[in-house]
Amino acid sequence: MFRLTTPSELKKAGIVGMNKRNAFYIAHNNPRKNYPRVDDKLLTKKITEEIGIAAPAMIGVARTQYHVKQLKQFLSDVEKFVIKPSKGSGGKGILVVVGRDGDDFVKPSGAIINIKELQHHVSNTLSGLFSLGGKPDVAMIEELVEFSDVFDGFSFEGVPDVRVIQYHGYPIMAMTRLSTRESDGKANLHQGAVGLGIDIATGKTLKAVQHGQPITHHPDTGRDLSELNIPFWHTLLCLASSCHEVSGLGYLGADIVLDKNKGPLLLELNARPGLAIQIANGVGLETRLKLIEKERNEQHTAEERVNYSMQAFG
Amino acid sequence: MRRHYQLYILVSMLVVLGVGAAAYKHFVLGFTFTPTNKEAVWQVQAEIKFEAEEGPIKVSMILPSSDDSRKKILSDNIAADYQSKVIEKDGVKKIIWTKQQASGEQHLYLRGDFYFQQRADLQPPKELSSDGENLTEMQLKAAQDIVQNTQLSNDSEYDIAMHIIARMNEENDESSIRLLLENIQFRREHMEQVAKVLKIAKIESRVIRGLRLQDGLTQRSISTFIEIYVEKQWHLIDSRDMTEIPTNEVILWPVNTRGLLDVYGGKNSSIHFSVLKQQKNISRLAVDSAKQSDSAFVNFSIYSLPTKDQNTFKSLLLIPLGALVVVILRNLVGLRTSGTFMPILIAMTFIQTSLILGLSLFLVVVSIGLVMRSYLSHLNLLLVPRIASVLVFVIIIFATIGIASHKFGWDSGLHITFFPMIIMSWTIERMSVLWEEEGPHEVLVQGGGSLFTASIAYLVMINPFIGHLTYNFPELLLVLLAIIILIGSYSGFRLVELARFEPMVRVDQQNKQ
Repeated sequence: MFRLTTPSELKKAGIVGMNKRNAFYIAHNNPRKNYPRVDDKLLTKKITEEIGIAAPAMIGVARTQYHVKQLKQFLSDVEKFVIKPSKGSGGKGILVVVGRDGDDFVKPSGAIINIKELQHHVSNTLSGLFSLGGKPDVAMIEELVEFSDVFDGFSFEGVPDVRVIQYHGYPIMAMTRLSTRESDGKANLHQGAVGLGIDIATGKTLKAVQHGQPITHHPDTGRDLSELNIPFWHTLLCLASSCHEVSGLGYLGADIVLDKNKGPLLLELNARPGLAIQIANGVGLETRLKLIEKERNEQHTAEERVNYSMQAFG
Repeated sequence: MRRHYQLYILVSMLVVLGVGAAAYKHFVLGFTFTPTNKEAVWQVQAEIKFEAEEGPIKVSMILPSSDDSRKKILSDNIAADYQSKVIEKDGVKKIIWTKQQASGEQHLYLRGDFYFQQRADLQPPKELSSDGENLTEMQLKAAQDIVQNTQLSNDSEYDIAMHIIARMNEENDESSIRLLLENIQFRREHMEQVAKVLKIAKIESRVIRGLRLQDGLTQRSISTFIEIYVEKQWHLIDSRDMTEIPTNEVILWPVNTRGLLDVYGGKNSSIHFSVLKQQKNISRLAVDSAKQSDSAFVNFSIYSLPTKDQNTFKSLLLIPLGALVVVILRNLVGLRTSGTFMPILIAMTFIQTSLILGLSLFLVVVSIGLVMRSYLSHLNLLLVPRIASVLVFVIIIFATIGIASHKFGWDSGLHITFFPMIIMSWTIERMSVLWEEEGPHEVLVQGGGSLFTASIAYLVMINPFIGHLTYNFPELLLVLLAIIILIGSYSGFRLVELARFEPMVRVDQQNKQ
């Protein structure tokens, strides 16, 4: 059951390990001073807005406990919204409200929370419960994305986002994570979510894995996973790629969602994107990183880079 | 690439420095790498008594020799209102006490602790005994007779020497012996006559004064021994009982010195010795002896601190080992722990409580804490007050376990107080959030990882050999630092990744087939 391989086998497959990612790709290409640009989502929002990158609209920011008290009134007209910590990590502390039930709020699971619980959550966020190192934080309130129906039937709960990993602005690998009953609606692969590798050239499913094993159909919905075809693929990649300059990070992950009306929207950026994408794609990152290392100064605009990648990694 | 060169240079410098300093301490100062058993230390005290004669007083005493094989590790003198100093002349050390005015009986004390290193190789003779010049013609004849007789019946030089010494004792009525020992009053002169006879037998010897060390000796004077050089070795012989004295059971005074004690301005002076044997730790001895010789290595180290603070440092020096364990388990193995260095603190607690007890107490406290914390989540408290409440819970749990175990006569429960309360509270809080967000599985993974790391760190820290090394060779911390830096630059795979990415390689191979 617990099977091991050898380091040389992994190397041959071009797989990048945690140490290599940290010591080499992240340490060499991501200057520490630029981290706040992605770790602080409020800042990310600000800088990406300036250069016109599409993202979910901001409703408000709760910065102090005083703001928490005003939440009831502030949110009285808003039916659907998302509250997230500005410096959260790993999706911690994100509260999604999909509708109202009288004065109460309805979560995507159908669970209902009252204003007190909501305020408690925001208050926790401000105290730094979800932030890295427990530092005081602010809570962002964003418009809920009107999800496009391309993922219908592909996920047990919630709507998946598309993670694009880019190196010096060149998209090199993409995946989406589909939650399952087993993963409790969460998109963590090690909790049993399905990882779906997406072809950089086409936006179509490349491969699907659950617990590291290849699968063909979603375990809960039974949908054939190879049918997924992400629309606006070129636009989506361009959106991801254009985050390169503004973030100042060479090794970057961009999480993008598809809105029914607005198309691809940037959800968040990540300076330390995980390595599970290799498992979902069934391909190691190393070869692609090496190729870009040589190519990185040839193309200049986001569109040029995306075109190059779509051709090179098809 | 340049960064790598720098790193390797730094690492090699650290290793060279650390290993070099440790080697110096081992080979030159006599520190041992393994925690050895205790070594005998002889505490010798000299008591000088005399009656002062109403005037300035000057007392001088020749000090016993101290060299590489016989080390004096402490000397201390107690003499009320006397000024003392030590002078050295021609390799002979003397202590001199002076006082302007004194009357009545005077007592001076001098204490020295001696120990003997194993490698006691005595030097070959430098000063040789005088020839048989001072003997009269008849004495010379008698001496030659004795030598010839002895040589006939004995083969080895050692036997010949022993035989001559034995034959020349005071009680022997042989006429030739009587002749040789004519007009001899003192043992010293007696031994010198023996030496002259030995010289005729071509055996080098010297007369030497010393004190045989026996535990519990009191009121002992120093004796005169004869030391013979046969088979390329010195043998110290006590002629009274014809035994050879082992070099580690005697302290000796420099050869060719007379009059151990000189008292000006006093009369009826006497000197007596008492001896006590103690068992001391050998590394402690190396430190003490290095202190006596003013080694900068020791004087500017933690040994110069008071003993109590040294003990604090002793446990501080173990923390880097815990850090190394954490680094290895996280970066080479890939274990996930809750809180990076929390396992080290837990391991430090285990040192106080022992492993099994510590583990069970930890589990009990954290489980009860989690139950109480889950109630708190319903109250919707702010973060800091909530952690403060958990802290209060933790203290209540501590007290309850302590009191309950005491009532049941199971006092080990009281060890609970060694757990760091704040860390426990944060652990409970974190685990609880983890439980709500990631589920119990993740709590098990991270909690188990933390406890496993703590257990390994504990096992490393309590290892007596490792404890000995860190305390006696703190410079090895540099080597430890070098290892941590090297691991820091390791960009290969972690052990768990070999399992994590294994399916990818397996699929690859299947595709090829």
